[in-house]
Amino acid sequence: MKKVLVIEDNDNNMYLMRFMLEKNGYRVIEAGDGLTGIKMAFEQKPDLIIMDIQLPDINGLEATRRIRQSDIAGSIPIVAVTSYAMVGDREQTLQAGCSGYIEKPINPETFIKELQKFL
Amino acid sequence: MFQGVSVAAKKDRGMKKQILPALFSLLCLISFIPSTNIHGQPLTLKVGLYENQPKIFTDTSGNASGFWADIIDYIAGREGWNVEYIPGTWDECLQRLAAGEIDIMPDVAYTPARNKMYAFSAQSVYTSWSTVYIREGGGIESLIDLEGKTVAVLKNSVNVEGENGIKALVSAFDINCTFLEVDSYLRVFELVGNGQADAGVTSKDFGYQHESDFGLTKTAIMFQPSLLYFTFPKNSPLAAGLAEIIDAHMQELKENDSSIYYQSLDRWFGQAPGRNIIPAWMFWALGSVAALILLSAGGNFLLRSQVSARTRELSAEINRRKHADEELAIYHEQLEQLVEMRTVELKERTGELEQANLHLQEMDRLKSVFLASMSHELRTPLNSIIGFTGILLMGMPGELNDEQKKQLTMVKNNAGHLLSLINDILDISKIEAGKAEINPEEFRFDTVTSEVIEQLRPAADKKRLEIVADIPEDIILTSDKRRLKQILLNLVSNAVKFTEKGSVKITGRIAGKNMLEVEIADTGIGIKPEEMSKLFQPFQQVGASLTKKYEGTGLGLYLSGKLVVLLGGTISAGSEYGHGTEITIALPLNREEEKTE
Repeated sequence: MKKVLVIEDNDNNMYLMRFMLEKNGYRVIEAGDGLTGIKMAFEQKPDLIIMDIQLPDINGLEATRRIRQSDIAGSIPIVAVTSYAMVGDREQTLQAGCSGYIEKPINPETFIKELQKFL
Repeated sequence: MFQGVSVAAKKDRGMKKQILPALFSLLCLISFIPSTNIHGQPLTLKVGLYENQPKIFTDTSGNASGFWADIIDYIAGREGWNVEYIPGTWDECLQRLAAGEIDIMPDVAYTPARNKMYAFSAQSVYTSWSTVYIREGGGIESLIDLEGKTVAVLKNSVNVEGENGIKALVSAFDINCTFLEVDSYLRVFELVGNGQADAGVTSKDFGYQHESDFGLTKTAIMFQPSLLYFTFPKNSPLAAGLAEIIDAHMQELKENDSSIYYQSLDRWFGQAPGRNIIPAWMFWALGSVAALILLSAGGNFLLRSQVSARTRELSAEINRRKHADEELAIYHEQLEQLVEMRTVELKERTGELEQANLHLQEMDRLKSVFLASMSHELRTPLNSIIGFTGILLMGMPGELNDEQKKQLTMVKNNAGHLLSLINDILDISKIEAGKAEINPEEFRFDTVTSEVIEQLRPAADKKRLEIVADIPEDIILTSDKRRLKQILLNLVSNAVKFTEKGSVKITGRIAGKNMLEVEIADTGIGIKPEEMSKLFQPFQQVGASLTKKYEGTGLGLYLSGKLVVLLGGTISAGSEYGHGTEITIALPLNREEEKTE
């Protein structure tokens, strides 16, 4: 069973993603802020990381950069899921090291399909 | 000119000795004149008396006094005459003389006019001239200064009416002044003294005697040198005899240095001119010389006065101009100050405006930031709404009945509409904040139209509308593909939305050198001409009654317009109400080129 780390500070959104992922046969581990997320990435080495960009401590871009710089977790695919839709958001996430970008609000019909591209 | 007179007087005396034989023969002549019966008989003579101290006046005890009185009293005493003085003003005296009411009038200056009215003695008795007097510091220095002034004069006096009198003088120099003609020299001085007159004319001796009493001072204006005579009524038998006797006495008196004549001169005028035994013709000659000198000196003086007056006028003019220049300079300075003030004000105003402009820009930026973060904050809950409705409808948590599905679909659609609104607002705020970047890439235009048609076909099929595309395959664009698709989605979905029957046609062609022209034409309801101007305004779905029937954000065309401009193009619309609408956009084939041009 593949392990997906979801770094997301909104409980409802976390629940929505956990529900969809688990329904599709994934194991979900959760982190509510950036630093916890990095720690869990290093310790548990998930198969995929879903990264919210706006987080309470360090933002998702910074968290992505730190994970990418590490040897242990540097190669884990990271998909940014954000309601940030300002200019250059897509480019910024890719530059920070994200493998892909899914804009909020997520479409439940296509969400899992998009994630599977990176697994 | 005063000196001129005294020089002449000295010469006078120097010539005396040569003249003596001539005088003797004259005396002999006089002794042959037959005496009248007046001689030796008690006779009362009426003598005119006017007030002209020290020449002739009424003293404090009411008796006639003065130089002339001395001479008259002496002659009367010698002849055994009784003298009755008839007092009056100068003018009255002259009138009485003319009327024969008095027998003798002393102190009369000779003029041709007077000679026609009165009989003059042959011997002159005294020499005088006239002077203009003013108050101390009265500011009148020359004849010219009399312009516009009031001058008090003695009525009918030779110094007023004479050939060289004040009236003749001022008229010769074109000077306008007002004359106050009064009855006595005292009155003249009173008027000057109390300010009713600016200047006054009197004989030199009167002035000399009285100037200090009235606080007056002598000016340099001296004129009308005159020889003064005894006068008698014309054509009076008595007069002829009287003249002869008086002339004889005068000649005698003048010959004797210690005579009453010289004593009296000394007594009244403080001068002892020496014996003045000169024949009349000689005196006339000398008088004329003196007068000439006086006049020429006077002329010089007047010339000088004129020059100095002119100089004064010129310097006054210079002063006036200086003053005007100064005033101009002041005005100039004031003007400069004004300009400077206005400049400062303008600068302040410009600064204020710049400040206001910066403020507005900052407000605008804040508005965009606000809208962007609002969009973000709105999207987060929408994520849950759309997400959970989505998975519920997918039946992931469990099977739904038909009614549940129907209602959840309504939730999902409304959430989708809300999301469109938020997206549009976000796009518009980005564009208006100047933060909408374009990411140009090279692509075939027909791929974009295909995607758009693909996406909108279900909606068109529902209404049984045909979507026709006429796009050449070889149109290659370098532009922001995502933005262009956004524009076309908006325009074509609008066309589908507002068309009930017929078709929506998309036509693409190269226009001009490097422009792509796209026309989206429908056979829909069209737009009323009066509503065309609202077409590209936000929240202006044309036809208010339509809002219910046709859902939409009301931002579609507004945003499309903004996006077209962002891509360097133009948008326009044409419509026939009830028959359809054509929206045409023109875009540069190469947005990058366009931008760098």
